[in-house]
Amino acid sequence: MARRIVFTSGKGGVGKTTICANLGATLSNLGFRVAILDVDIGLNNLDVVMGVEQRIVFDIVDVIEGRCRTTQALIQDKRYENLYILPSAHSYRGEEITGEDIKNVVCSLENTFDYIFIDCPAGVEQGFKRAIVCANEAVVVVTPHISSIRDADKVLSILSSYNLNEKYLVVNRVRGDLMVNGEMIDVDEIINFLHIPILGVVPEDDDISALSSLGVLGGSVSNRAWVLLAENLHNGTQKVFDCKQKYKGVLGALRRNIKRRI
Amino acid sequence: MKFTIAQIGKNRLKKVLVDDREQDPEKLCDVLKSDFLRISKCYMEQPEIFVEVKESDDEILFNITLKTRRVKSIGVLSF
Repeated sequence: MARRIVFTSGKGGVGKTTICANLGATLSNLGFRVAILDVDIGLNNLDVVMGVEQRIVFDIVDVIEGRCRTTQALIQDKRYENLYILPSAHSYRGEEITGEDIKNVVCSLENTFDYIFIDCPAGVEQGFKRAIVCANEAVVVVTPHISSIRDADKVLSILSSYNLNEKYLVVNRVRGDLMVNGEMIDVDEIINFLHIPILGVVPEDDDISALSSLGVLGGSVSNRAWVLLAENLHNGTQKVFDCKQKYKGVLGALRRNIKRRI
Repeated sequence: MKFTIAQIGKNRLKKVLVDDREQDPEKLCDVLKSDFLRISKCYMEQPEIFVEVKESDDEILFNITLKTRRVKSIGVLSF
């Protein structure tokens, strides 16, 4: 039976899709079969992030409307053989799709995969609710910014009315240098505010933005963070990437200074 | 005392979250009262319920007081 995990945030642009894709790739590298479903109908992005936009034959709406089987719509990633993507429709009136429709698609994949990731749309409207009903666990993604944390808090209140087994927090785009300088809210403070277990911390990584233009996953700074995130999700541990480590001490002060000037 | 940017952000965030979580305490109290009343009527006669909400930075405290003149005997409980 697969673990069905929804990636949500409330606020847009915090990195849900990037985290979904990279965590999926890391888990598949560790030998787990992972399917990522893009349920942001009409505003699909997962296909571009994963670099599979030219390989789409069928999408999730084709599956729901019976034009193909779920397995026919799945796209196998060329770099990670255990990783599959079910793309969303690029133009469709999403209101005609119900949570039950998507749940049926998820259920049809449950015995084939170890993990099913559901990439949730931003906001707390119908698209969000559709995504939540399919999952039994949720990962709430935040960045260390007030607007993102506030939205995540609202999302957590809504999630508490759903029947989810577990909720985890991922703090994305963390700048260790700013935290050491006291210019960014600390990860521990965010955990204290939101009261949910931390799954991982992902540092700000210039490679992610650069590589995403090429449809390539990963990043030199964040690679270790993805592995820790995957291990935490699978083993239930809470080993968090220390973004501040390299900015401490004399050498760290030098790094902070250089980063500030660039 | 000079605050760092992170501390100022933390204080602003705390204020925002406390305001957001407050929702509508009176509405919440009414809903809670009617739910408790429904259940307590199974166990006691003419129960009266008072709900008070107190909020701090990181928790919400509900003080629920339940008053009755007579508790039903176990043998005649109706569900």
